[in-house]
Amino acid sequence: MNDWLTIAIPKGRLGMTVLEILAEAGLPIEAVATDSRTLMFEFEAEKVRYLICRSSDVPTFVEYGSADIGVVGKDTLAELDADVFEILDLGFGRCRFAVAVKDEVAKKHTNKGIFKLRELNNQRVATKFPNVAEEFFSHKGMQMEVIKLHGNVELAACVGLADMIIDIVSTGKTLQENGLTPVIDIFSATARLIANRVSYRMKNTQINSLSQQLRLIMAERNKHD
Amino acid sequence: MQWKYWQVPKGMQDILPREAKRRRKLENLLSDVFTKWGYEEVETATLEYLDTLTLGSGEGEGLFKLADNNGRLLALRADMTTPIARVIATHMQDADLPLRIFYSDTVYRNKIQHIGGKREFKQAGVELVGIAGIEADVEVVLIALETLKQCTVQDYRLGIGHTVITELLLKEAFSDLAILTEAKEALVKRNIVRLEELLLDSSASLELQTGLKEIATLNGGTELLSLIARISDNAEIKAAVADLELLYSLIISQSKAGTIFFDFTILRDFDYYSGIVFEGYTANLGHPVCGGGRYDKLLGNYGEPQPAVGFAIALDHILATQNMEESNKQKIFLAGTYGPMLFSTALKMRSLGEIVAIDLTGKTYGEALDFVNKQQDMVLKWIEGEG
Repeated sequence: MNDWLTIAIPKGRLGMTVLEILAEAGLPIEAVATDSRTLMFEFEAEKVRYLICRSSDVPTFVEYGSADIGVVGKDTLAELDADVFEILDLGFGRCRFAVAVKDEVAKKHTNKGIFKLRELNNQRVATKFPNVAEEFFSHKGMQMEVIKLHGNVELAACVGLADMIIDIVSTGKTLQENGLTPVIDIFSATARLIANRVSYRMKNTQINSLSQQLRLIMAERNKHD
Repeated sequence: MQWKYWQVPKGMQDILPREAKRRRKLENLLSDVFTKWGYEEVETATLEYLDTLTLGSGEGEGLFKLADNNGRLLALRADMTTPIARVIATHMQDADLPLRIFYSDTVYRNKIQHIGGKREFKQAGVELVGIAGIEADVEVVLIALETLKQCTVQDYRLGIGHTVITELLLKEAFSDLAILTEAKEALVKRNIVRLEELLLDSSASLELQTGLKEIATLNGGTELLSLIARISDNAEIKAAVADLELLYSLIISQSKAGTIFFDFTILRDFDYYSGIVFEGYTANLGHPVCGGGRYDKLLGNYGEPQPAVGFAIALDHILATQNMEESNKQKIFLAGTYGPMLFSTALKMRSLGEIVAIDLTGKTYGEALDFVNKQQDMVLKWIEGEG
């Protein structure tokens, strides 16, 4: 059992990309699907096992050692603060964390092209990522009331539940359609290869060689992009 | 909210008979190992003055605090090494060195870690005080290895790092203090991606950059030491590397290949480490089973400075990995028609090594048999008349 490599794969689109590059690295992925009822796929000959889980659960499976390694977005990772090794930036699935406010608020607090975030001290911020929000504002020395929501965060700003939102922005279209403007970039996030702290030591060679392969594959892909 | 059962604070735990038995057995086994290496047990005060503990364990964030009657702040110990350093400085100033001390005690952390979620746990470990040389490190690492072996932990490995080497290498690569701090933090948080980004932006030579990258991702034997010696001319690093080479050769001759390896990302949680640091791993546990290292500066906080090295093992972690077959000795349930006789009969049987529990409620033969059948590992001994 111990020489198996267990990989946590996030459901959905990110997971599909992960499987693609794992296949390129020579791992078996035949019949593995990230959207089926089957949650575990095993390849006896190659001693590889995939766990298909929710993206936000990938760090948990890895932290507890139920999976040796996994792939997860840096956005999820930053929010969860799991005790795992972050070993490789895979470069895909890029998105950015941004503070967004209603268009008129953006106008009101922008001076010479600079948004004066500090003028909104003590206001409410709605987000799916309360830890990221807390961390961001405490670095700024601001005190904010952070409201945790589970989705459609834009709504909070539209109806005045919150004065601003912190959310992941990829194209900015949803914001625009809801009359919101991104005013400050917090950081941008890409998919990361993570490893359990014990697995990374017990299976160092195995994990490092896979990580090296993935690094080369991603570099090659980026060249063509 | 009305609870059906009385609760204990989060992270505190009740240990019930079945588990208590396993723990006791493990504790005895550990104290046996430590005793055979010539270590002597100490127990330290559960409560200390807050100032005493913060001097050792760093900030008091993770400590349980309370106030004494006169308003002085007290805290529950969060590790054993700090109180033992105080005990040595207080009671053993004149003792002949080296001191070999072991403990098996409960520590308290007012911070719920992800895994286990416990705020109270039992630790056993050793401290070897008064020897600065690598020989002391070797002894402690060997004890750690023997402990893992004796605890029937399957497929274990021990990773060894060195805080001085890691810190000096980082210092060589990052001249900017703020970035150095960030790099250290990245390493502590096991964020290799961030460390690499910082390295790319640094003014470090390409050789140093690639070398550090490898050191941050690889673990291995002496080849890792050669790599360090190649990329750094620092005399302190070279001396530490020479020490580790010696340590490796002394330990590898006594253990299976691959059991120990070097890994310079191992830093441990406490700030007091000042030399080698190590962690024990086993395949079916997601976090280290044991850990320790050298802490030459800690004792000076409390009195005479003394070099020291030690390690601790969390009993819960070992118990979680063990598939101990429970070889329970059969218990005898002693019952009969004549009550008072039971006590003296039981006494005789116990002196012969039997485990005997007496019927105190005057059960009939049928009732006694029913009772025994419901228990595990219990047989009935029935005494008619006056025995």
